[in-house]
Amino acid sequence: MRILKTLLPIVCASVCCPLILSFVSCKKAPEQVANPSEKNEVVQASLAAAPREVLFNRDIRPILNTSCTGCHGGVKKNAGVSFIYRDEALGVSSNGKKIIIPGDPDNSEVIKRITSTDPRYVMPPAHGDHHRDPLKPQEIELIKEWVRQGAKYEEHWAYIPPKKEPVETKLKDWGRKPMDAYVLANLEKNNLQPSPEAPKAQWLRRAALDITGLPPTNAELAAFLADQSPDAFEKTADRLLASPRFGERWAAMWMDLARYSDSYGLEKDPHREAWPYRDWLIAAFNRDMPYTEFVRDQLAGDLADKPTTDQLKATLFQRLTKTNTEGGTDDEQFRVEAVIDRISTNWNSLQGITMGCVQCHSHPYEPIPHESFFAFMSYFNSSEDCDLDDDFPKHVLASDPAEQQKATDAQLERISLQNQRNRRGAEWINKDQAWVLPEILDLKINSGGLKHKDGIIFTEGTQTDDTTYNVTLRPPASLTPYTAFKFTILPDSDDLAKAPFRGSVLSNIAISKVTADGKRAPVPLSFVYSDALAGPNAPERSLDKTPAGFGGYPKLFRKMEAVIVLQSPLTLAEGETLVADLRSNMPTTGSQATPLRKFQIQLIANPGWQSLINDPEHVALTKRINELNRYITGVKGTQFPVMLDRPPESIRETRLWIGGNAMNKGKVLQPGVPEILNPYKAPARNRREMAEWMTHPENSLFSRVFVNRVFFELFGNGIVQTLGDFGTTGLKPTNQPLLDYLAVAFRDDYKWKPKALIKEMVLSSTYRQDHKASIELAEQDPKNILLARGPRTRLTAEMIRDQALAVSGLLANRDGGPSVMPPQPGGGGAAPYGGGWKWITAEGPDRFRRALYTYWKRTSPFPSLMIFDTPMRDVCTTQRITTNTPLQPLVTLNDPAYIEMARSLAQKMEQAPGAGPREKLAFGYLLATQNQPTVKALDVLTQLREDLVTQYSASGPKPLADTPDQAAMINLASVLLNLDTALTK
Amino acid sequence: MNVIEQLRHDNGLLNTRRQFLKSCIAGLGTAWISSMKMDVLAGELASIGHAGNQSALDAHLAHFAPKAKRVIFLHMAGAPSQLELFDFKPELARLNGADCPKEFLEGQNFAFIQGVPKMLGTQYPFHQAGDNKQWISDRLPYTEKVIDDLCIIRSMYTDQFNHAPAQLLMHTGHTILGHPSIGSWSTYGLGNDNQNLPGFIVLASGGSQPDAGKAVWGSGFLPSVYQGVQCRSEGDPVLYLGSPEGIPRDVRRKAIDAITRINEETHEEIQDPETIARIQQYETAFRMQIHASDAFDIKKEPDYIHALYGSNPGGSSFANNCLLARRLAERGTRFIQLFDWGWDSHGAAESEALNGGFSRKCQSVDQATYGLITDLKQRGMLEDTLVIWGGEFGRTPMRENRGGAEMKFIGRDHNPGAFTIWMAGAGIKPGSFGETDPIGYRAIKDKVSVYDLQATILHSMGLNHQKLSYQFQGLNQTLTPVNKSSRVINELFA
Repeated sequence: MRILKTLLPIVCASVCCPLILSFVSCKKAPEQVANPSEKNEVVQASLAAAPREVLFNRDIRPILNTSCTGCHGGVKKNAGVSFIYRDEALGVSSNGKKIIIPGDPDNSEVIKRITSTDPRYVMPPAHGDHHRDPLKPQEIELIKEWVRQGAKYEEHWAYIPPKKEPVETKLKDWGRKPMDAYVLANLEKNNLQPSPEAPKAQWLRRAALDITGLPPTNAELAAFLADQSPDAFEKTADRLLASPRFGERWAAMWMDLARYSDSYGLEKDPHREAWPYRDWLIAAFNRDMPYTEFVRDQLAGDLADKPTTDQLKATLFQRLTKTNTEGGTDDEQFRVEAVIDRISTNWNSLQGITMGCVQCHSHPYEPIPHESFFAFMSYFNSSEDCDLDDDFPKHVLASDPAEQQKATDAQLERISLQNQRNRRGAEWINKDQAWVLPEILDLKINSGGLKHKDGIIFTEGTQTDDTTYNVTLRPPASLTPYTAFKFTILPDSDDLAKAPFRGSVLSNIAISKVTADGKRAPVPLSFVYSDALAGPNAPERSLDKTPAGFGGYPKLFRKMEAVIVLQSPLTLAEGETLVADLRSNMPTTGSQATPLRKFQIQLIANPGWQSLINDPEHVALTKRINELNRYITGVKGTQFPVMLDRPPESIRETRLWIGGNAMNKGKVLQPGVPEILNPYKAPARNRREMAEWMTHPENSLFSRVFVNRVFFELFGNGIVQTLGDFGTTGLKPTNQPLLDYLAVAFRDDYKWKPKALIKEMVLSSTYRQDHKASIELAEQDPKNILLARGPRTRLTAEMIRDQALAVSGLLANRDGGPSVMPPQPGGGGAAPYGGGWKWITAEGPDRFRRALYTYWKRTSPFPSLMIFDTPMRDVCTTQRITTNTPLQPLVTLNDPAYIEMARSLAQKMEQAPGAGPREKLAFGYLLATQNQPTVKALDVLTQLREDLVTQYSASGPKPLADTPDQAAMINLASVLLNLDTALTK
Repeated sequence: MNVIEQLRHDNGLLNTRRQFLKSCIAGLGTAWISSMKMDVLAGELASIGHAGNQSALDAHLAHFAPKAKRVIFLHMAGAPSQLELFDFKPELARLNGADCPKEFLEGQNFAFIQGVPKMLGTQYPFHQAGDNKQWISDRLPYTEKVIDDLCIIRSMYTDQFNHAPAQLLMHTGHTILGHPSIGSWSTYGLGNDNQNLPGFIVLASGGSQPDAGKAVWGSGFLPSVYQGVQCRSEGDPVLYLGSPEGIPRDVRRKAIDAITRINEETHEEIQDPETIARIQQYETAFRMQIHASDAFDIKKEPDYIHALYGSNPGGSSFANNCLLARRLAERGTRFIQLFDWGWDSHGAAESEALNGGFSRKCQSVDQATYGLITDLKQRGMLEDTLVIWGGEFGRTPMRENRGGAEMKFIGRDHNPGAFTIWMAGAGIKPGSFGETDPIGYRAIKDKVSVYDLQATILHSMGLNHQKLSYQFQGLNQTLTPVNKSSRVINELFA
């Protein structure tokens, strides 16, 4: 199948396939750096006289992953040896050696190999492509001891459900919140003490930015400092959590995972109406939606019993994939890419497991077989979207919120009734029906050739994107009166492993009766039933003049059949024939013609077909569908892309791609989730059940991944530092009891409510520590992983902009709506080819909205946010890596937007109460940092102001300002916004 | 600086950076990236090496010396017709107007050609030129003058037949978004030689961005610090480079001094190493404002240089970009990526047709590329600068028949099976490499895939394409996908 050739590159585009190259290029598990002392301790213990228990996860798995499983694992089982599953490891190698004999290290082949001094025999190999460093003596001892103790395997830590473990700490009165005990225990283990409590202002700045993404105002700061009540912190946390700004800050975080953008992503990169999803996120966080529901709706909101408008908005999470509208493209290639993108996005963001490896082969390190990828793919492979230019399917969102649910209900009812109406006919197409092949008298086509054999009509040569066919038929006279035609579109091949096939559409069909003397009379047609409804075009569209109609569009997945019912039974006189005039003029959005290439026309005299159409049920359904059509067309509002499954009779088969190659399809796979991750045996037969499985309280990863992400946002490091990889190739938790406590508390105590989780964190003694470090502490724990001091991190790209807007008084706090285009230098640059798209710089308050409302165009993302590490949002980004580059100061010093903010802040400072410049500068400093400047800092600022006033008096303040004082103050305001303390929290 | 010194320098830079990250020693002035979060990255760098704790970067830098200190990649976006420029096919001329034989159509995927198209002979006369008797058409008279400096590779092929995916493939090794571009990989692997300029700079001409958008110079899953910086020939060459009106340089100097003094106090109190890094970045930014502005000011070039390139200060053109490329190369920019849009000669409009706009496109790049090669050569820079010229795929030997009908102008559809690029400088042996079939439809001899080209470019910079990797989505990702075979075309080097 030629079209599928293009799929080959995508298949493996994001993944590796080490079957071809040597293993060096595939991933090696990183050294576990979490707690070096722990490992040494174990090693020493194992060498001591009375060996302690060797634990697989702690002691053995890291050695295997570093030195063994590359060749003896899920991908390669060299010599028939694999260490992924215990029963395999205890088996026999292909040369008949017992690999591991529990309790008997001396006779276990693995021990003989790793202890051998013969370079041809020793493992890991000393030479060649697969060579690794030899195992260290301690590692050999550990493996020996482990075999002696019975070679017990343990599940990878992340697959074992979290438990709250009690902890003991020496210091008793430090912690305010349960999590503190876990932090403290870890500090004590590392001979560290917590830092003193932070000044109140430091905590307030940190908490306000972490919770709402905005700094506190001077008034809020003053009130908090004045509040001596014991619950001052809690009241403030509650106030911040209740602020509508909370949802905006946390939605911004989720938008990286959702690869949120306002455009399709490629070439012309057209606009996508995605903002309803962003607004849904904000609202969901603001109303503290339980995380389980939050995720379920994003995975399968469309499959709820009676989906709400909000649940459909949530499914945009799946639709924020790329759509390619480039001319000449194969829509199937990009449909499948979108499906694969959904798989990685869902796994990385929600489950913290990378599935990339499994696309081409079984997971080299995890017990996840190759089939799992495609079983999971099956959940997403039968959605209606198929890379069409209009982003079909879309959902009409009424502008009037009161109207939204009604409009949603109407759209869902319409789909349901259309299927109901069609199924009345579909079930009869091949049931007790005596379809008869007419004699084919003549065939005409306007381009290429048209022939027939065994009743099947097929084309030759070139068909254009507007092909017409004239088929002259003589039905057997015995069979009369005729009531219906059956029109069959056949694929190029019967082998469905080769599906999909090129699109094939019957845009229009007209039947005429031709008398013996050549006079034509039209035969009125009434309705078209199809064996299944799917795709953007209803089959009855074949009866109107539009290009839409029955068929496979943009692709044909299998044989398709339609029954075209005559308005009234038809009798032919002697010598009369029928002519079917067919037209195919519905090219794909990628300009591929979709002519009928192979088809069949049959007839029947069964009067039941007319009865179906005339039946009151059909009439009533049609009437209601028409009413709904009229209503929906009249709804004022917008349309957003939505997740929508094809009806069950139209599902696409999902097959294994052998070696990850879309050209080489294997067996059909049923939907399912990897067994290893479903020990609780939740049913997962469809996407809705999969969502239940994912959010199941016994899912060992689901809660951990989210609490870890929140922890990262507040403390600057994840407890698992690789936020998107909790598998054996990710980093181990730096404090697993803490992670597990939080995961269980989030699930059981906080009932999955994010606000409660965040509240515990910001009120914890850990968070309330001073972020000052001694030189010793900064050296011992530079990244502050152990949290012996308060967190101090750079503001996110969004916070940097939002803070400057807030501090300068320019921030326009408006909720939601379409994305806005704040000023950017160069007006956004030239659009890629054919765009005709422009950055239309906003006017009025839309210039100063919070950063998350900035229009995000994938081919040309907003530069000042990118420079501060916002990802492109082409794919799911589980973790931003904070950089510190010289382009960043250029933004905050030179971007006209920042100068505008500095100007406004300068005005505020000028108007500040108080006598002289020194007070004004102190006021601005406090505004930007929530800190009182030190005497020295204030000296520096005051001196700078004096210098600049002098200079501007000499050179003139224009065009920056009217007076030297103003010009100097604008520069001072810019300095304040650029201070380290202003850029960090 | 010779090659060995260069290696030491680059190694030193990396090690310094790593040491900085690990021990947070203050005072490192030159690292572009320096953030605590990068420790994760540094850890990953260290874990990439396939044996022991040696870093992949250290290891392969020691494997071979780079031939190219820098790369200038001239991408003719839209895909110029090899059959009208470099790949002379008398057999195709003979078949002109005939129905395309079936064997060329079976199993083929075209963007626009439908059914059975007609063959289309070359539209312009060819002749042999230079010491190597290379075939070239009359459309590139200037390029012809430096033809003995070029290695013309006629056997390029790709597996994508649409612009956006093919351009993505050419620059990121993948057809889907989200992978780093080759320039990003280069700066990730080698760092940056001139701390006052971005290490990876992109210049576009032709009135449009490439079809694949900024992803073709994006950093993909690499930290965004490695993305290409698009520079402009009008306004600020680098976004945000110029100080705002009314803020003269000495004012800015004083402001940065004040920021530094307050930040130093902050650091003394809090001991956050990021503060030190930030102080340094403000200094660098200040210097960049001068250095980068100077680098981009082509008015400073003498008239004879403008005459050589055909450049015109003040405007935006491919010629200006070629001259800028040389100025940036002189200043140590590692990877200079030019895009020139408008080569998509389908014959759907006069502006792009082979018998129309195509000739004007040729004129607009011909002298400038000649000027660039000549200029680099006369400055002794061609020997360590790799210059690449070409598109993302080739064009069909059949005439396009969009919608199944003859079109008003003459054009060719997209052809992934064969295209021509040339390379020059950095030890590339002048001459030609590879052959296509008699009608120029398929590369048949010494075929060079896009992956091979990428491996070869990295190789010329001293990087091993199989070892330069980064962990993402559970895999050690490389520029050339590990499931695609790719080899360094060693035969290209002298």
